Amino acid sequence: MATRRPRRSSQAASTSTPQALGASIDDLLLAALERGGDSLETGRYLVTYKEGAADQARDSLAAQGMRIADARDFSHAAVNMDAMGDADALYFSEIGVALVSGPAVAARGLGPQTLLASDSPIEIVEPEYFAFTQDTVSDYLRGFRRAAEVIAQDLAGAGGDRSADDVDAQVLGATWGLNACKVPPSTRSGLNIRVAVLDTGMDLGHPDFAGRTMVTNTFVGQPVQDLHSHGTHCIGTACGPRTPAGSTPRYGIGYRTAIYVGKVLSNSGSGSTGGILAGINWAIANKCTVISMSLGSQSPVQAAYTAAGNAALNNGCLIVAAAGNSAAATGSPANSPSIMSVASLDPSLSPSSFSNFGKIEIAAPGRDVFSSVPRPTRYGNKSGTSMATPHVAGCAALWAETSPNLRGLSLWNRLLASARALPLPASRVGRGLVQAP
Amino acid sequence: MAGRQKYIVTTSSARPLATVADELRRSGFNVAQVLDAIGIIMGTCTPAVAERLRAHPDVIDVSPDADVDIGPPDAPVS
Repeated sequence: MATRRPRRSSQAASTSTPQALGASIDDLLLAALERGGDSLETGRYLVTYKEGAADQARDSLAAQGMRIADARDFSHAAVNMDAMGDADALYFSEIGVALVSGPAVAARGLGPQTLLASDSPIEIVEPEYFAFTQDTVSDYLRGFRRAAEVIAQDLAGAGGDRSADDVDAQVLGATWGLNACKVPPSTRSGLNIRVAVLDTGMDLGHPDFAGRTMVTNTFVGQPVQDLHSHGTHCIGTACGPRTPAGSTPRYGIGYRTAIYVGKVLSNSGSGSTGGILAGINWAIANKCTVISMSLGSQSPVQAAYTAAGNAALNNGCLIVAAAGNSAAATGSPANSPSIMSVASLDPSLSPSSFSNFGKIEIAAPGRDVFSSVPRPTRYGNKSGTSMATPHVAGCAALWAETSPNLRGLSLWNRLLASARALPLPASRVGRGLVQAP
Repeated sequence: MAGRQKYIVTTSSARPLATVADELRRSGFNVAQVLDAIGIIMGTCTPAVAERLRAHPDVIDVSPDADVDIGPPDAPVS
């Protein structure tokens, strides 16, 4: 399990937000989210010294009463932010830049708006910004292009004579996964159906979920706020909005479901069987109709998961779980007979190369899946049986809305009976591609 | 206590879970959580106590708690 031990300066320790130099990125992100808006600022500042003034920089910082850590003090100058202790500033002598804590800047009137004297050794004071991986946009465009190609092929294969404009309209309307599951034409929304997603939590302030019912609980000792992204992505697919903001395509299925966010995986993506079982227990006790679990390990059937799955079915609840991504036999908990195992499909509707096999009940889109991720990025593409699973959970919620009798085992049977058969072995895709009512 | 580790005890639903939990306590199992909805009791004990628990008539499985990991946010598949 991941633990966070942000070291805070005595000055920052009295405040509720982690503004110390050595605060963890998690704490900085949480504080930024609490501040609201779309700012990418971390709350710390970068002070750049004039060329040739690097020698004065350290003296200048000391003269202002700052406690200074020097990058040269670390082995090979590899700075460990966790070891900042009480420092107000970290000085990188090689580049003539100091990273200074927010409180230290504020206390000395050193903000970006401060007019610097002409003889000041400081060139500029700027906010520090979070850095994120850049692959989201290219991934998104790649998935988008692939979806367009698949749908165009589908239409051509159906002998239709629709214009290219029709293709564009359909592509812009929804993700390839939702189209493959026939979600957009469905009149169902999962109204009042309780869907529990046991994962890394949720970005509770994501604008696409404003006004939605969310019941939350953590089983890992961290706030439910998702600093990983996996949970927010899975919830987006299962429960996201019908019409997201702007030109964003529809990516969510049960847009009027009640969302139960069970954080059973930490912000680093790790958890334990005990925490997951506690999450299942919570979801059943809260009368959730569907539990979505995009998690697991390559282990044999575990009796505890089988018992939990049976208890769920007996209480009118269906558990769906990811088969796993090891291109090997289905892992736990999806290998339990009482838990519905979900395989991943590519946009060509062939099994994804990574998708596990063997004990598979149903298949769903799992490659290049576009959905919500935490602010400020908001949207991104992910692949895996983790992404296929919430497609099944969302469709299950739509089916559950059609009849109060479709619960537990009867819901399980309906999902399998209504799946679109695929010309592939059951060990790879089960009864086929999940379909919305 | 040395040698103690976390265990997950799966029970049959024949008798009230609280009763079974009390019996496990008397066998040396340090009960941390009773999951009523799914018939599971979690806690800590030594491997020797875990072995004894397996003989209890209402216990169908005793397994050590295990780690689960989905990888970092930028994992290629998850």
